[in-house]
Amino acid sequence: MDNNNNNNNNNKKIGAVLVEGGGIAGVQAALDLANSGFKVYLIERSAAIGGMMAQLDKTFPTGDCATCIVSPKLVECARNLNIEILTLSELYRIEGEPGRFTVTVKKSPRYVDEKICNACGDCTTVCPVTISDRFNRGLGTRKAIAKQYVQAVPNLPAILKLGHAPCKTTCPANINVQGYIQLIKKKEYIKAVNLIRERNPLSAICGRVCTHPCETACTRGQVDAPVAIRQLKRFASDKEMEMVASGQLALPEEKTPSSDARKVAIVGAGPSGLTAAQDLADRGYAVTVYEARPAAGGMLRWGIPEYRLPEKILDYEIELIRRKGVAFVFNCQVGKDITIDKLRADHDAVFIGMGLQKGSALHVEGENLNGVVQGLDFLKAIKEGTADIKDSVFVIGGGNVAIDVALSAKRLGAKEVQMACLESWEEMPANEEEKKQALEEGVIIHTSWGPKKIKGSEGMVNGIELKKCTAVFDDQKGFNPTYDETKTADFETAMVIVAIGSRSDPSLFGTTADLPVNQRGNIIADQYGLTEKDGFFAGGDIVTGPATVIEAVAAGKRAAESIDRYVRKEDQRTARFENTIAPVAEELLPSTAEVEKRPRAQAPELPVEQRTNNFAEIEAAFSEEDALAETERCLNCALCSECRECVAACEKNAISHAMEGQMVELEVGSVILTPGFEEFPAARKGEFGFGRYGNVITNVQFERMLSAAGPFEGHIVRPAGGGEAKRIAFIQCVGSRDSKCGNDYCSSVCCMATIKQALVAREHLEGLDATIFYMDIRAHGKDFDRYYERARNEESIHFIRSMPSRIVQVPDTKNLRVRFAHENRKFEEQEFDLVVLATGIDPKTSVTESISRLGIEPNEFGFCATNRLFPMTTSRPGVFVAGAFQEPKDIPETVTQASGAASMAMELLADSRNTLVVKKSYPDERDITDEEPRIGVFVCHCGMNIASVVDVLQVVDNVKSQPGVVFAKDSMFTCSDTSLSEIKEKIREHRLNRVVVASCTPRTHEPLFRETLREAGLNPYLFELANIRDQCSWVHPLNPKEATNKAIDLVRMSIARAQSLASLGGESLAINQSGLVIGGGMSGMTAALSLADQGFKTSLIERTDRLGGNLLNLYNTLEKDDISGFTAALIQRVENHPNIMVYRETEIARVAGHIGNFLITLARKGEKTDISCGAVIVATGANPAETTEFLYGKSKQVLTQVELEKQIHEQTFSSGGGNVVMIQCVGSRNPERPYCSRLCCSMAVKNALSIKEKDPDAQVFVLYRDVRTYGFRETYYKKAREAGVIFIRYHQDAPPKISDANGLVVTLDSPDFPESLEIDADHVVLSTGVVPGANNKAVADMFKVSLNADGFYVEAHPKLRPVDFASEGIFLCGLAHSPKFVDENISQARAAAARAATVLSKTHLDIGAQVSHVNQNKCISCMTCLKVCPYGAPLVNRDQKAEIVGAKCMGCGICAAECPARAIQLSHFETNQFCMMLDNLLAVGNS
Amino acid sequence: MKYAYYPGCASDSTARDQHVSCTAVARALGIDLAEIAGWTCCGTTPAHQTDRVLAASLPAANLVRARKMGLDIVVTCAACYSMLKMANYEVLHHPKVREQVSEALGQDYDGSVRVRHFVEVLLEDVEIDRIRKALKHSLNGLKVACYYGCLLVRPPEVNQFDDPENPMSLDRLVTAMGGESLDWPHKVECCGGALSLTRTDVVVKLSDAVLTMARAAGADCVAVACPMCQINLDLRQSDIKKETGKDHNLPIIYITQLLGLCLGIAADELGLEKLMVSPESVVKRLT
Repeated sequence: MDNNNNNNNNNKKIGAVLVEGGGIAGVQAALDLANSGFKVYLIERSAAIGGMMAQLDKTFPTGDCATCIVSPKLVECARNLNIEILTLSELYRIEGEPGRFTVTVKKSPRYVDEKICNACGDCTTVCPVTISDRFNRGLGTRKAIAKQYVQAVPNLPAILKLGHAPCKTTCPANINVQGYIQLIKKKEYIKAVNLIRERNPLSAICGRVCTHPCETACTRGQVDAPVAIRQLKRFASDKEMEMVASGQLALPEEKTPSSDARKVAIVGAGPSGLTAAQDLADRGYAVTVYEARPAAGGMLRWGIPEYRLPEKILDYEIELIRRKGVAFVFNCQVGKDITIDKLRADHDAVFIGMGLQKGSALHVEGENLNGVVQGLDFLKAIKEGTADIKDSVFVIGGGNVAIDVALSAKRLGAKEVQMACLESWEEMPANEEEKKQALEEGVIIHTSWGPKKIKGSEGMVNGIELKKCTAVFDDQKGFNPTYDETKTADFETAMVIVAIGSRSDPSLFGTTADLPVNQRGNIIADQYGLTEKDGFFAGGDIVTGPATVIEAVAAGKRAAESIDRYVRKEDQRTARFENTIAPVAEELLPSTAEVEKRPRAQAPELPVEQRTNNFAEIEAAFSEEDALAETERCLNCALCSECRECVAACEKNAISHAMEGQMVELEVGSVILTPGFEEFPAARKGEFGFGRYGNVITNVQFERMLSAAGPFEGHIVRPAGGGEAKRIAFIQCVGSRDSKCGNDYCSSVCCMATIKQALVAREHLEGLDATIFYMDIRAHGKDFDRYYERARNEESIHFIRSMPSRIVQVPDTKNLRVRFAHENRKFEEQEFDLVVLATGIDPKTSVTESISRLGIEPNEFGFCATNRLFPMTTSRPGVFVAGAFQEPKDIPETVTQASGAASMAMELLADSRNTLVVKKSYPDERDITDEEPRIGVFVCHCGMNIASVVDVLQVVDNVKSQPGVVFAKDSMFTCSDTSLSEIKEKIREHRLNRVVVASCTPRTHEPLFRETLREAGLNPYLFELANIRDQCSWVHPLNPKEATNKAIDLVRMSIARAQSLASLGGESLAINQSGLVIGGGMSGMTAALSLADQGFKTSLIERTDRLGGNLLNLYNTLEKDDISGFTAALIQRVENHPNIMVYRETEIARVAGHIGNFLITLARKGEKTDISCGAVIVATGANPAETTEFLYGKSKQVLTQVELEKQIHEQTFSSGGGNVVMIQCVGSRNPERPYCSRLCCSMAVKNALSIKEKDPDAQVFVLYRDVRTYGFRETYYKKAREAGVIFIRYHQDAPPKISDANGLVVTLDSPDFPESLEIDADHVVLSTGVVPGANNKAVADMFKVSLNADGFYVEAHPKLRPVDFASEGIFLCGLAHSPKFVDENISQARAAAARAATVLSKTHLDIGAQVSHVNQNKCISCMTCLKVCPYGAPLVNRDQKAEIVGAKCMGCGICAAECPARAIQLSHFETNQFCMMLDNLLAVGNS
Repeated sequence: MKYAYYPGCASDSTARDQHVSCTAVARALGIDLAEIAGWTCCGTTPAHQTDRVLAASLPAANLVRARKMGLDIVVTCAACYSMLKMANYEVLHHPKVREQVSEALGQDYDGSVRVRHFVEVLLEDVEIDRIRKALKHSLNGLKVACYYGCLLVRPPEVNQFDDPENPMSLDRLVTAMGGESLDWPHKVECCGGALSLTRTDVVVKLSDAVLTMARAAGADCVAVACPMCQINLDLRQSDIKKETGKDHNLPIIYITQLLGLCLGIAADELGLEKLMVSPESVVKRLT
């Protein structure tokens, strides 16, 4: 790099971050970074952000609609000025160093201009190409140009292209076959023909005589038969001619070249010459065609019989070419009538396409006899009306010309026509259609015979002798016939017609102007038609030898381009069209396995008996019906067909098929990888028949099926065989925990996802019965076990612990028989209507490949390699990772880790915060004080969510005339970008001053709409939402009429209230930019360090006299990472950090203040100090549970896992070669403690492996209920089994028993063993789990946050706000949240820091205006409000009256409701507003 | 196209029909099958159930004979195929077994002789196009359930014959012959295998399941490529009738017999008369 270029900001880090992957992880990281002062580039490989979450139906265990909760986040991303979204993009290169990277992003074309498109959807409507929809996992279809999904962000369509279809790439002229077939499908026949003519002016002709190599390549041929491409071309062309004939379509106007046009001479009016002539005329050249014969057409006219190509067709297409301004000079033989030199002298270039005129000779005795005729001469004579015929004719040759000759001879009146060819029937070069016609018409064909001699008498032919041909081709596949001269056959005949090929005519060589000629007499020219002589070009048969019409057309086309380039003096070889036709990669061609077979259309043919004595055309065109049906057989191999209908439909000219990909260079300080995952390809587990059996689907497909916005609109119907799916089997671990397919890991989320799917499905379909086949149920997350227990208690949900071995589809019903070994060890088979495979999480192959290119190490499975103690750190410094690409994980952990990765980037780039961001400015707020209410109403369909029940249009109609309403309309998704823009537009257009949206729920969408009002210059509190989905359509699905009435009432009430809405203003508070962390364990220390590293002063409060917490009792991770060393280093960093103040032996005594300005009173040994801070992180930890079960405390040989780990570490543990029995779930997962402690299974595995390592002879037994070694921990479970650790399952209701009569004995009834087990134990180790900290309650009360039933803190939202509290400015991490591993705590601690940074990075905070206020006159000082407020917002002022602190008030309204004196009003929810709603509802005549 | 042909014991007895139809088809397609002089038993079930080294050595003895001929070995019996493949697999993957086998044979065997099923030769070496061109008759839409059984496709890592769950090799041949190959779910079910004589009850149960499914799928006949499958499905139809009352009456025909018919080879050269359930309905369909 040039030194001058990076002078003054040489060491300055760049305050921007690139996030790759637009799933929920990427979105969260982007939002956190952008909201705390960093510029973000969010890049996404597909056309829209949203990732997997946008494809899910509901989330567990909360039952939220996944799209509904993720959509606002996506929209927030799109609206954030500091987030730039780059779709269809992937990270290509990272250069530079942490803090100063130059990244290159490879951006693929959308083919739609993102700045111009207004998402009107016209292009999608007109697109004829219907393809399988990847978003719906093939359960539905989409158009080639479409939005990725309805609520897609950005809300724009994209065109899917894969390259060029086999038909197009195989066609010598590269005609866009798929394109014109799609146009025919739309009955756009003229457009179809025009598309054909772009590459081939001889459309109607080739529609009859083309050898159609395209059909051989057609993918449909692998299903049943290729699409009848030639006949479709003919059909469209004939339609055009019909329209011309009937006057519906005028012939194009005649053109004449301009007087100063450059001139080109074309020698020969055959297909190559005609094509070159038209192309050059189109480009403005003055073209003259010199033709030796009296009419144009060449071999088309003289060599193809009328019954295959009527002359009128030929004349028609030649006329079209003539009208382009092409001049013809007939009866002019170049070299004789005009010299080649003169031609060259008179023109800028000369094209020679004179074809081959002379038939090849046989070189046998008798060839010169009278009655021996050349086939081409014979065919020409027929056209000229001079053909002679005999009763018996013998044709030599096996090509199309030979058959044309034979059939023509028949038509002329020959009684007997025979043919002989060297080739066998299969080898014959003639088309199958022609061979078939020959047989039909009674031509006798002798295959594998060649002429030996032609016999005659008196100079006249009277017979022919044939000899047996034993092989036509030699080993090199060259034409080199061998004969068995001993086998001969004699035939009598009066005429022999030789049709064995054609060659150039030396007598015409005057034409060639000394052009180099090869040994066969053909002109030497390259693929572009260039000869060695300046200004001379050549193409067609004269260059290639005998070839097809379409090849000649292609040659003419290429030569025209070359001539144009020659005249313009441009390079001949760069950017030639024919070199841009990249075929669709074979693996991307449509799968033919599941395509339903449909017969190929057959064109009607003239009956054989009507073919004699005339030359009427044999084949007719398709009927319209047949043609349209035939177009449906096209599989659209290239996806987009480039028919350009969308271009024509787009009024904004936003679409361009010529758009190209580009490389974008960006300067960023850090990179975060959040590329997500893909599902395991279920077809790899062949025993389940996915891809073979229509009713075996994947879990993601089932999500799409359940989704109201999905292809089945939430109905559970069977893809194959129809009907509802009442009996559903779920099979777990498909592609997970399976070393056979290379996936040794557990995908972590499928158990819960399946339980959710079963529960949700039951709500969709009454009487539904679900059976879940599983290995272990891994419900290890917060509140998961309760959800699992709930499902287990459902009668209609069955859990069977078994891995099915096979699925068999019953042929007639398409039902599925699932075969498995039952718990009772009996082999069973159960029948189901639908089977859902819980496909596991795979890394995306393309991502794994690309990160390797970027210098980032993948792990053994292709995920990003990380370390348990540095879970977000990749092998490349400055590049971080989060989400499922790091390790399979659920949404909350993904969101947490994304925030965590964001904090890593913030730490790295702390100095550059706020250097590259811009602040959003809103237009000045309109003062509406004196305006009459002008209300706009927008009623949302919410896809089908509302519209399937409520008659939306009726609602609109009914509310239009309400007082104050000046505008009302419906919209599909009011929350979409387009609809929001429309709202703004309407506010301006109609000068609206109140807006009512009738849609889903204010909980998720109110902020979005309020923001929209602000952008339109209205106060956000002038917005009102009528909930007609959650509270109407969803609850009354069976009563559409009443639901519609109720919706009308609800909207009317909102309109009434809207009239009284007023503008409200908030206040701005200064923020104290320092943090406080409660808890000096690993989570607290990590969070504090993260804040401190970001430059925020941080106080760390620890209750005991030592930092470290539970870490002090841990020595290694399962993966053998050294925890002890890590802990020591962590403590040292915390203690020495200049930004951290550590308070030991200190507790929180009192909490006052609010977000941005907390006042915390600390107590240390009775001494109190006050400190203030802007944000608080609660990391108070948890404790190992204690127990008295299993003789713990009574026998020295009974210990806990924590104690065992310590003994192992201190080398005081010895198995003594005896049995170690570990008992899992001690005191856990029972009614008293109904949650899973998540850690214990892995801890048991860790300790068991340690024992085995030291003493391989020791017997270790692990007695368990479910082994929950999720994620990569599963590999250690496998290692433990391989090491000989014995895992034995027990049921909750039959736990192990212990006795100590003669040494310890553990007895157990396992469902997997027929008899009771009795194990003598030298040691019994108890997994007692984790219990929440005892003082959680006290802390929770002080901060007014809540605890769940188990005593852990409750986050704001378990999925999308996992480290936030409902109260603002307070965050949560570590074991205080729920039991989890070190790496998870690290992620979460950093996440809490990142979330806190979104507060601390700002100097001021805007407080919401929707707060309560006390009417001091009415207040009776009862202090009820103080007691009821969950956030501690009210206080007693000097006048002994209540007062509410705006910054703390969350606007819940409890105080207003409870105030006995009615002294409290909540702004925006004032009593009079509700009265107006009720008045409206109850008004006479309204109900 | 020359191969060392290993007929296996069944070719002289229960699967004589497969042997003759295979050799007839080979002649018609220009495949030279040079029978291995002095070939011996592959060891079959008794060997692999009792002694790992014996189970590898017996087939290996034939493999070294083929090695001397310098040719790929071609098998028609699926059981022999599996045993020969397994022998190669064992010596290639387990040096200890290789040592023991070499000791038993008196010479080293390295697992290098390529073992091919006749069906593989048809598809990979002759190729469908050539077969199609050589056909004289069409199956004319005959509905054929192609049945692969266990030993052709399993164990997949050893045999590497087609897709172990949904093989298509026989189906491709049937389609080429103008038949309709049925997509049915019991292509690789077990017919009872070697239990034919010792546990006829098991064979009756399993074969009945296969035949019931073939019929449910609409099969006119079942095409097989394994003597064991053929005999169990064909011979036990009378026992099934006795046990269950179900009269399947499905011809169980070797793929080579079907191919022979389509190549225009006379029925008596294909051993069709040996089938228990008369294939007359199949022969009649030919055009």
